[in-house]
Amino acid sequence: TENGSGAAAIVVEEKKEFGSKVDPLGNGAPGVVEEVVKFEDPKWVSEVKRRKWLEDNPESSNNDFPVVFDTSIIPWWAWMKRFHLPEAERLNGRAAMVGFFMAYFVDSLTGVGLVDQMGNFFCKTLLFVAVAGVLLIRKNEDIDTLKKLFDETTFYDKQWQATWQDDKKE
Amino acid sequence: MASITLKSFIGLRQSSLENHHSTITLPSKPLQYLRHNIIASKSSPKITGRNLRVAVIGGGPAGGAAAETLAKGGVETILIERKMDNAKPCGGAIPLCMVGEFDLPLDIIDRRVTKMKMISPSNVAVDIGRTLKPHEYIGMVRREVLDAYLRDRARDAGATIVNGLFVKMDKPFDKYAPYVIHYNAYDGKAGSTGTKMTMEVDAIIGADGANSRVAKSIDAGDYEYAIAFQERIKIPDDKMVYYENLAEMYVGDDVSPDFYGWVFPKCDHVAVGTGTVTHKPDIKKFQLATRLRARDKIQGGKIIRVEAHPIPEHPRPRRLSNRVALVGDAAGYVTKCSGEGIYFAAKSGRMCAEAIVAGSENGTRMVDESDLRNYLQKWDKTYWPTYKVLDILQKVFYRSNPAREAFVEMCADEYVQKMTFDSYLYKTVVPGNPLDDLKLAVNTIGSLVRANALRNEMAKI
Repeated sequence: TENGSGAAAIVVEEKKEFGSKVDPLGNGAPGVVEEVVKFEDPKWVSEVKRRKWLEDNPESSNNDFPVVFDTSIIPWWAWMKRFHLPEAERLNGRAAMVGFFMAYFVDSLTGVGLVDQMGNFFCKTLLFVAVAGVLLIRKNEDIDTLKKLFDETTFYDKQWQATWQDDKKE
Repeated sequence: MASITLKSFIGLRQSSLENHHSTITLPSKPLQYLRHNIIASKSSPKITGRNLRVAVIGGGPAGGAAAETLAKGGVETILIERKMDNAKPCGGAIPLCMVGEFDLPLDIIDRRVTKMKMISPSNVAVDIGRTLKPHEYIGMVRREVLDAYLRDRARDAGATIVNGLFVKMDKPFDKYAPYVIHYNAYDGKAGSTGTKMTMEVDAIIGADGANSRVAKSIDAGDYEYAIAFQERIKIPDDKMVYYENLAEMYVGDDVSPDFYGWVFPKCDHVAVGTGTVTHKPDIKKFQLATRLRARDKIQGGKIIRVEAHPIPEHPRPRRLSNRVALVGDAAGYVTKCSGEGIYFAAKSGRMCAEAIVAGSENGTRMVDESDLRNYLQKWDKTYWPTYKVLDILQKVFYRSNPAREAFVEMCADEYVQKMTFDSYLYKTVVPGNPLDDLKLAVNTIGSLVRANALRNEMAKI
């Protein structure tokens, strides 16, 4: 695929000329590197490609070509645009939908309008639970995952306590 | 009291614990066991005509340290070791505090590692060790040298060292009746089955390692264990210069799904190895991957030895039964994340012996279970934070490739290096400056998020 051959070129060139954008159409021409000096050159694109390549084809680590990539060099706005904002949009949308529906539902059941709902402590708690739920539970599997995570955090403790538990059984 | 049978998949480990039937009851009154300690051995009878007799099964660091402390405390000690010149497969790293605490002579240490390189799945390499002071190092030892030294010191203190293999023990029927241990005495004759011997002892310390027979005799239960696989490679001298005092740690799914691969310098060669808990059948594949990652640095090397050994992942459900206690690997005192066991073996052997010496008032009184429980209590209290912190590190940072990338990135931070080395070298979890800790927590989360974001990008390609 296009990625395969493009990535091959990256592996050779990346270590020496970090940040140069590799010609994505460089099929069958390994080693062809376009020296693109663009101001908004997203450095992490090449790093992403490099990592993907290495994941499938691990390479020897070499002292002469040290990799010194640190994720913190990627500017904050790149993270925002590619990673944070789409996710935030999704979660805010969900929270808004849940909020609207719950407000309508409570209003229809109890007759308490939106403004009065906000004054009630119980409703405030529900709001908090809803926000937390939207953040933590994004798929059905997440509920299981969260439970497993909780078990996992305390599992080691239980293994250590085992010798004391036995004592009580005797 | 709720009874929880821990059976299912817990976290990363596809561990089914059914085979060691661990029905673990939650302590509803956790302080109840303290009452045991108050029934002090002041009520146990004074022994007349002889001193307390204790058998230490196993002559590794745990056994050697235990036997020495017992003998020094006036207890009649016998140490039974199967193979006196056993060159055990082992990483061989000891922390700085062990040299001081156990008065080890400096010539036991083959190499002093003062630099470490952590290499991430995508070969991002980070050098750690900048914060080490000139007198601080990680000692690399040969196990046969260390074990023999500790055993000899035990003998000089008055313990009897016997070359033999422990077979089984007869449990006493009375409260203070002796245990009878059965062993085959080899007496230095290799290859023979040895002469069957028995001996009466009052207490037994099981220091016989990961496949402990003493543990089996007292139904201590099983533990999960990792397999560590290691190849000793003799590399050309010019390549050996690089490893003069540097050790490397490789992380990645290719190298190990739940542990790490390493290159440790030994006396005149390097040990290249890896380990795993969950994917034991693939260990050879992981070893090949480790060799591949280190290929440029070990080029031209010859494999002189291949070895493997189990590493316990957590303590056994029962570390103590009546007057039999387990120490070291037999008890399962190996830390997570780094897999370090030598220091904890020696320290637990010593602590157990100290508890026996104290409870028996230097060998003049009988001991009972409560005295040995003191050792467990002291051990858990002193080292629980260390174990827990390493467990958390393993759970957070060995989860996936992005987590490992974040791990290596965090290691570049000087504060992290200082904290890591301080806690490793001196075996205390020192709470640092809270502001720095907060910054560290924020940086950790940031690294993890960024690494995972990159991973998401990778999936999109």
